[in-house]
Amino acid sequence: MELPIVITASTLASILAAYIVLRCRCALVPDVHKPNKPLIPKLGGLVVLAYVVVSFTLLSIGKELINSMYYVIFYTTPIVLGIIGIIDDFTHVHEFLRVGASVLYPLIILLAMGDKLGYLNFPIIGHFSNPVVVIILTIAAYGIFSNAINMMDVVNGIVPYSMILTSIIPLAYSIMINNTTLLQMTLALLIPSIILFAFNKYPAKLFNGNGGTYSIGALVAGLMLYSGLGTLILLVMVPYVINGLLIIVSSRGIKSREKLKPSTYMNNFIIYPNLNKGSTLTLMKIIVIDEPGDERKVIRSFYTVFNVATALTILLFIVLYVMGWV
Amino acid sequence: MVRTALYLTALSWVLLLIGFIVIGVIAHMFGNPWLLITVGLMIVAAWSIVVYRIAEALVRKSKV
Repeated sequence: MELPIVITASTLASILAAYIVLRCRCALVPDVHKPNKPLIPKLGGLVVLAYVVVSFTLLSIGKELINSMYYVIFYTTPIVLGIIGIIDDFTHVHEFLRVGASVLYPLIILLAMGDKLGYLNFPIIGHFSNPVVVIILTIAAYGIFSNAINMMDVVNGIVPYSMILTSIIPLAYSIMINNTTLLQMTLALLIPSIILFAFNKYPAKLFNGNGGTYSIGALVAGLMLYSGLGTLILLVMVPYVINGLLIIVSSRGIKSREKLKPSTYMNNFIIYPNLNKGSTLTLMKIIVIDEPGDERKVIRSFYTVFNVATALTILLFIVLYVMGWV
Repeated sequence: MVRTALYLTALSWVLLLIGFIVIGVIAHMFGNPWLLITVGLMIVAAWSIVVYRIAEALVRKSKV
């Protein structure tokens, strides 16, 4: 099927999903950083799911996915993880089940592919064609990123904003080398992120929820593995990797958000670092440790951190492209 | 407000890039995927320890 038709239909489905979620006002949670603690629906995952499901269906009708099973993993893993996340938004899903699903589902698909595994290309490092290495990298990417995105979803707008920044290099590269498959994959991350950002930016009208963060995490993991730009995408996402590392090490293991000792506290709607012994170390705590501030100030600081990581990576991309290394 | 976080991000970014370059050099010199995975895991572990220690030190320094 023609790319503009797929993109238009998927975008409309995504916008419709956002409209329905905002109208139904279901799965409401308080926005704790705002003075009157308004109730906000946390079903942003449906916005991502709508885009991915419609794209995958239309591309399957066009039989354009049959050539590579990697695209089946790319499109179906966000659907599976997004559904688990939405279930988690209503009833608690144990953290080991969530992490297990993010690792096991792509593993099962890869094993089902048998000897049809291709290779993964990473700029600077090279390409991997050994099946065991491909499987290890795949489960590591999906396991880490679906959860790392979820850990960063602490204030309005930063997840969709950072995903828009993450899409810049693959979008530019897909246009430069005229690669429609990469363009489709990049737009599957970029367009739902733009729609989510419109509603999730400060002051949020819609939360991403676990459904949104898991499905976005799976999309970015897929893009990292199959775009041929993995190292550059990982470098843009350094703040996520730092935040995930700090949380896991300081809390001694993978724990649900409710079980973590708070890294910050709020007094008169100013966010302060929690300096008590044993409190979780996060990027947000490091941001407010210099100077406590309100949510808007913290969001601006997060944007600055992502802008710097993206700017450094774009410079590196230009150097690598000029030297013919990507 | 963002100085410490920016310092940590930029330093981690540079260290990660150096790690990628080391893995890339080993990949081009030897090409053995198992050696690459072993070196890769060692670099990830070293990067994680260094970044965590720097973050802890920055938090301690800011508290004083």
